[in-house]
Amino acid sequence: MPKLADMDTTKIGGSNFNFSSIKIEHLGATEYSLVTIAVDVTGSVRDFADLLREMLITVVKACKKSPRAENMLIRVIRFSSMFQNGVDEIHGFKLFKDIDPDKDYPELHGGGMTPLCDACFSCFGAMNEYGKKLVDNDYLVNAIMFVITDGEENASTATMKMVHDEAKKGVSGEILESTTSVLIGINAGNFKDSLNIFQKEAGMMQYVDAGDATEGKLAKLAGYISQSVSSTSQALGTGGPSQNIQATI
Amino acid sequence: MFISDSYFAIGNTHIRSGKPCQDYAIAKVVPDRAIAIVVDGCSSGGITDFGARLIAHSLLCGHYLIPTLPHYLYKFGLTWNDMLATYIRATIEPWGSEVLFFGDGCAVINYGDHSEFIRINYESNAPYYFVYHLNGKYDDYLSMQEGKRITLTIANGTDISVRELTPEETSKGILVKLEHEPLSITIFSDGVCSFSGMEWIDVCKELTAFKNTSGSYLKRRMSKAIQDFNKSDVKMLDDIAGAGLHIMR
Repeated sequence: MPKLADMDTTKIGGSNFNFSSIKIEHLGATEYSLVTIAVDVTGSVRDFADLLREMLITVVKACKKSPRAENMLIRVIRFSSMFQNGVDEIHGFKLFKDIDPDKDYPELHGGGMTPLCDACFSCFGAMNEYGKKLVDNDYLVNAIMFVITDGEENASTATMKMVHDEAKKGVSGEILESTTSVLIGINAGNFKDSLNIFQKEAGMMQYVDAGDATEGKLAKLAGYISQSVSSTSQALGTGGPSQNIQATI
Repeated sequence: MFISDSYFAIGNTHIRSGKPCQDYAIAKVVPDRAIAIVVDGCSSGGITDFGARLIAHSLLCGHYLIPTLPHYLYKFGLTWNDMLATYIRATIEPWGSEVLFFGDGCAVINYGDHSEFIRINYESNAPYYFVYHLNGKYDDYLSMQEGKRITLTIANGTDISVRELTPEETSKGILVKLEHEPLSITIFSDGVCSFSGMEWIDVCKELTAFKNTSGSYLKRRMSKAIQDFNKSDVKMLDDIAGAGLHIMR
């Protein structure tokens, strides 16, 4: 488990958003995929918060077993208006070997409203900042992010324009080899249309409806995320995103 | 404490002709010393990609290859043609650091406040292969050098010294002893001299402009630099191998 001294804290551009990441001197490989998972912990997820936590733990355990695990860094955040800037970082970009999924993921207590723009801005911004730092140090980098929500945007400080601009930077600024961004709706049947619109306006690649928040569906979601992460890591060096990210779960 | 790394890549000429990469590099650190080896197989020889690996690993393990060479050739169904290769060995030890050349190639010695660039070049394009003393081709080697220069160039800032070597000298190995402990030594096959439109010193400078020295530091730098050269239409015609030793202070 890396000590605090092994991690850096960085501001995202000129914003009030921060993220943490493992220091570059601890990264010995030639290439990394940056993985970000953002989990909605607003009031409406209270009833299935435990299932969300189980899903997260399942994803991390699956990725730890991947033959590419040493070439992946993961950041996990939760979002709700309960938190300053709508976002609370459970941990910053870390190697999978430094994570103990049974110990490092706290109970996800639901509360507050939905700062979806804050979550997306934090995800894109951190991937771009850290990705650029890695690329400037000769690492080859791509990225994939998942924002899991059950509701629509209603409480952010970050604007849609901020999100869209960060989304564009990752690839158009030639920072990262590719960026894949997936908005996932869970128990979000009532918000399907607004989330589809949000995905397009934010500049995210796709919206995926994960269905109801049942144990089975969340287990499928865990499989979808870990498979997508694996495909993204294998695509590193090909010059583009993975062709194997499914449009549905 | 030492860090070591190595890298090799196939050049455009071999890609087009369907040949494998015949350059090989390896480096190793043990408690009080570090050793780096680069071997460049002859492209008109036999299975010199295999020969290059056999030579490199034998040298790394401290085996005296020459007395046992006929045994290996017999056991593996190889011929002298498969062992036609140059090699460069760099070592950093408590009693001193040195670079030994059998054949052509380059070395960059970084002393911290300045760097020294060393090159051995054969105008004949027929460098010395250590098996010449075993396969009865030494006289052929000597006649290939008639009327052609073999030079040892040492460039240090604006000072460049060029010394002419005799074929007989090269057959004993050209040993460059370092006057004091370097920050790093990086050795390269003569592939660094094959970048279209770029001088070898400039290529060496780019290949050793390390952004950091953790883990696969040489692989990251060489891979990125070669990609950047390619984008600027500077093509890598020959195979290339590099091996580096860095002292952590």
